[in-house]
Amino acid sequence: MNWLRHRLDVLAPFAIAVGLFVVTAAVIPGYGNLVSIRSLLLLASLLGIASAGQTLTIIMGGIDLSVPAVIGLACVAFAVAFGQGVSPFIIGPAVIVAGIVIGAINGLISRTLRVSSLIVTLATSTIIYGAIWANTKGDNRGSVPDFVTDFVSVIGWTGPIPLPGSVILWILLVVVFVVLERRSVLGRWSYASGANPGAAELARIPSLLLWTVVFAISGGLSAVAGILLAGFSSAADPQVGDAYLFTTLSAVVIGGTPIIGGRGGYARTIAGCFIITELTMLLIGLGLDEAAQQVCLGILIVMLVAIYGRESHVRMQI
Amino acid sequence: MSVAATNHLSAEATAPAPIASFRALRRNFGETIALADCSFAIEPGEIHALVGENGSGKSTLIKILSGILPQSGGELVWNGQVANFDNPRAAQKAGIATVFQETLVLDQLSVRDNVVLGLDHLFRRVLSNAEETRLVRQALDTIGMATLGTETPVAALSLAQRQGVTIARALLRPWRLLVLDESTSALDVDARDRLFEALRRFRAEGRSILFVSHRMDEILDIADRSTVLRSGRSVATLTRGQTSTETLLELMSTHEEAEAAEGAVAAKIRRAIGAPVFEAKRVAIRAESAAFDLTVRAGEIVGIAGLEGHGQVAFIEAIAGLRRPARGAVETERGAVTSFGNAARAGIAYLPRERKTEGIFAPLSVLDNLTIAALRRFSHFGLLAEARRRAEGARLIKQSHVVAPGLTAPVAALSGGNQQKVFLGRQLALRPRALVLNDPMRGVDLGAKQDIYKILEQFASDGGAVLLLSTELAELCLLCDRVAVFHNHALFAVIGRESLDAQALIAAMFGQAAAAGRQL
Repeated sequence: MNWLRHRLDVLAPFAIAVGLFVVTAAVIPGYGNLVSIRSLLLLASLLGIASAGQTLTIIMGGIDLSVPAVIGLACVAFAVAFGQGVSPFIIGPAVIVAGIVIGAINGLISRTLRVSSLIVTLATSTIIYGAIWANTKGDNRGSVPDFVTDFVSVIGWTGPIPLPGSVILWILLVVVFVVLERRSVLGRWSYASGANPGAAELARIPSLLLWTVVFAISGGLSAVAGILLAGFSSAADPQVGDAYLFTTLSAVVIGGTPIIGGRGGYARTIAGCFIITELTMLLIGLGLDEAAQQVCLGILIVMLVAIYGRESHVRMQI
Repeated sequence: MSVAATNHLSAEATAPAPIASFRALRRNFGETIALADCSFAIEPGEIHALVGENGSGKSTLIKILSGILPQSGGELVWNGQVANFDNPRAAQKAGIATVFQETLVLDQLSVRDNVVLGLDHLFRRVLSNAEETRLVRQALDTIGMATLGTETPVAALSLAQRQGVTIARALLRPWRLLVLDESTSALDVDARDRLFEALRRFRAEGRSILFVSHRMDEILDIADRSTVLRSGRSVATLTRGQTSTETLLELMSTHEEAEAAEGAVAAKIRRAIGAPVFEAKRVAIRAESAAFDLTVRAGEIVGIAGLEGHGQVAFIEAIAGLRRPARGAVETERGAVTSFGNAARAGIAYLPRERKTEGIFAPLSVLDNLTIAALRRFSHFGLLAEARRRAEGARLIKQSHVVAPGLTAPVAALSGGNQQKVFLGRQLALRPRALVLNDPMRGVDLGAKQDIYKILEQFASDGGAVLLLSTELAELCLLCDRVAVFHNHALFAVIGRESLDAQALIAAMFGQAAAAGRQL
């Protein structure tokens, strides 16, 4: 009985994702065709890559609000440096390392100063945005190598596979993350730390190390997402990640990982990513302009989370 | 004194109605019974002592009387009428002033503000500054703390002075019954004597005092009558002439609890006692308290007892590396214990007191809960050797007598007793040389208790050392080779197997050297 309820609970967001696709395909002509499915996969993969680290930080009992800032930093640094002639094989890894370092600092400070990661990562964001502005003075001319653009192109191929590299990368990431969560020391420590922070230290979990590593992972993956978004928009845009604050958090929560941590997992976030991407495409398909899209998306996500709020409540009771 | 005595005698002659009486008062928290059956009366113009060991129901009774807790059954009669105080204000209004055990003061505010706390309305001040100061001065005067500045911030006061502030606060309101819940424990002798003088004056005025103290000399000195609570029952009310240290200790000792623990351990197996596992050397819990030594050897189960707040918890936390003693050191074969981490490396595992907040990871599986502290042992480059981890989980379930639907079942689905065994199993997974346990049997059902007894016996038989802090004396008597009793933040007595019984423990907890058969 409990087992069944648990299964249903996990499957519910996937059922919503599929249902939403069927409904949209019925309402909007041409939505079910191959190009449209490929763009759904591509957009979901970008969101998925940006949400991976967020999922892990939330499971652990933290939250990473610096995702958009790190995306913006990575996008601008990568495109501007490449535009000035730096090899993408130097600036790419350098940007990812920078993301990892920023994340590690987030985790380190949250833990040593015992300040909520919500505040720490917000502060980091402000610093990053300020630093971008100070260095570029708003002059964000840059360009992106073709292979990066192809990596996130709707019609891109990965070797013999008719899917863009971004989607393949996402699939690999899912495998790695599910193993990490379930079969690694770091994964089990994260769940325990989120489930009962007071007990974690007494259970000899090295919290400082844990928080530093998990936030570093989140920072590194945000930087990867930033490089991919540079390819997607072909420009150095510090604001390119702004939408990802709300959407990564929503994808995690709609997928069924409670915001207080200790439960859930990245597999669930996949469903959340599809639901949010589908909603966005539905609203575009209905011919809503940018402003109306945002209003509707906000309302729909709150409604979905409200449904989930109740379900997780039931789950807490058993 | 003579005036007070006369007053008291004449009061008895006319046999006035009691100011407060309890009739079969009962209170339970879920399945735990805090107060089983409490009946006694407080006369006008009487100092009535309430005596009992930890968990005998004193605090619960006082909370009911003060309107903090409702009773589950029975009656509270106040001034001739059945009363139900819904909140502390109602009790205060009826004329009950309570000073609680904890010194409830606001550090940032002045003495005056602390004393008049609660007199004002939300937006309107009732009294002028000058009026307040006069009243506060008067209240402080009554308890012999006239020298205390009314504008001094409370943060600058000593513990005794803070206690004085809370007593003054209670005295400020009109009252007919003053309840002092161990309020004298922090006072120095001088302040206490002056408080007692004040209490005798109040008695002469026909007002009553309900007085809780763990100091026998105080009870004998000031109480007109004493009611003894044991396991939530009022077992006797003694008049002044009948009261003696011996009678009180005898009445406080439980006989029935021993039966509950019976049959847990087949026979007192004589275990082989080996080399010292850890040694507390010249340890002082507080800077001003006496230093002592305690050595715990392989194969030994050493109990820790003491009335609440007498330093025993601080001591076991020092052994576990969670805090440093004021002086002295805890030494092991692998060096001194200076942190929680190095205590673990020295082979000391610690079981915290609060299972919910310090122990169980509710959404996680039984397997995770058992192995979480020892995960590194199953790690290959960060990945878990799952087959080995499951095998260890299965072994731990057996070793800890856990009843669970499976290793992957969420631990929240288990009963409280089984969760506690999982929590203990987590410490066993560390393969420690010593187990330090902070009241592991509290709130655990009988079956689980007996399982835990078996686990501890087995651990000791296998050459482990156990340091067991327990609030259940029968258990200490049943399990321990010897029990270290704490009093006033220092080791007071170590009671060996040959003279170990509840009465000896209680005597030592109350600081009665002779009755405890004290040996150090």
